[in-house]
Amino acid sequence: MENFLSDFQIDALKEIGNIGSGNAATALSQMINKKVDMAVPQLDILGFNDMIKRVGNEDDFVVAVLLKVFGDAPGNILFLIKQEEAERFSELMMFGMTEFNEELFISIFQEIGNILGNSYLNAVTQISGLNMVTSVPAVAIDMLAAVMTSTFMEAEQYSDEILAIDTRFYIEDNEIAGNFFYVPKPGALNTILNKLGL
Amino acid sequence: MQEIKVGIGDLNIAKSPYKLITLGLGSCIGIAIFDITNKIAGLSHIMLPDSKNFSSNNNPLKYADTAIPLLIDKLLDSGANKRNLKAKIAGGASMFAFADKSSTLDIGTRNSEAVKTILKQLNIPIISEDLGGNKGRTMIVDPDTGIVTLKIAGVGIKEM
Repeated sequence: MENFLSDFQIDALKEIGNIGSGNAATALSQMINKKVDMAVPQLDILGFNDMIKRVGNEDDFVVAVLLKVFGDAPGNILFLIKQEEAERFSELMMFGMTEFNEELFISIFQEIGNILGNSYLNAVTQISGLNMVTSVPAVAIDMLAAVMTSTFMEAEQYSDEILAIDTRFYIEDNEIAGNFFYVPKPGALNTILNKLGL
Repeated sequence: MQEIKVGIGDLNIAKSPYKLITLGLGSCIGIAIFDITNKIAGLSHIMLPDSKNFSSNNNPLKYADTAIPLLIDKLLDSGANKRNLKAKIAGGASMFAFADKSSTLDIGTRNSEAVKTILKQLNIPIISEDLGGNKGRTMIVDPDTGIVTLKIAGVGIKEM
């Protein structure tokens, strides 16, 4: 789709992704009081099947949190974590509480999505001066391919090649890892780049 | 028994004893078309309802209106009889339940409607369907028996 981006623009968008992810990692680390590392963000323009392969197998079960982004540069934010890792992650969030059920599990991931998504987006809005807000998060526990195709379709990315800025978070020395995607609607990246004079 | 995989925005056909499989249908739809007499079946995994709404419609296998006729052509070329063709369809979920229903353009529902309209136009009867909801589906198609097996997240296995 937006593969008319120059190398310089791609680097700028990755740097914004880097600042956003850094912000998100810090917020998460403060919340769970554990070390959170992150990989250098990637900007990828790939076919669907390849984009999914970056995360895992099509039928891997994941916990997915989707936040819609409204405003000047609309799109979607998606946080994915493999189901077994999500269960370990949720234990970290329980702070010793023992009453556990599915409702609580979902609410934990809504909250994680909220914190990651909004701290990411805050960084982007501060750098760019654009106005953007997120929806309340929605959680699905389902197959990787099903949640990813739905996320990209929801962001109106209808081309054969889809675009995402993504990074991986590692919690507790790599025992738990999650993927964080920023999926812009067509034209949204141009709005950000124009605003930055790039 | 060997399974032939159908990717996202792709289609394929198989003859017994081979089966067809597509993984993780969310808002997408899997369209299985059978000629049970000749033990041949096709499976298409579409993502969007209508190619005419999009300027960059470079992959016709992504859209219901272009993929289904291509699937039928491929079946007929491989010895299927048009009069025997019957369809079973599954998918079209909306994976994320947002409170503001009105603002979401629900691709799953639009896909479901488009697939039904196109099959009707092509005179292919739909003998079974499992559409909508908020769960992903994996679809396995057996040309030998005409049975479609669905693996539904959090629900289990279902035959149609």
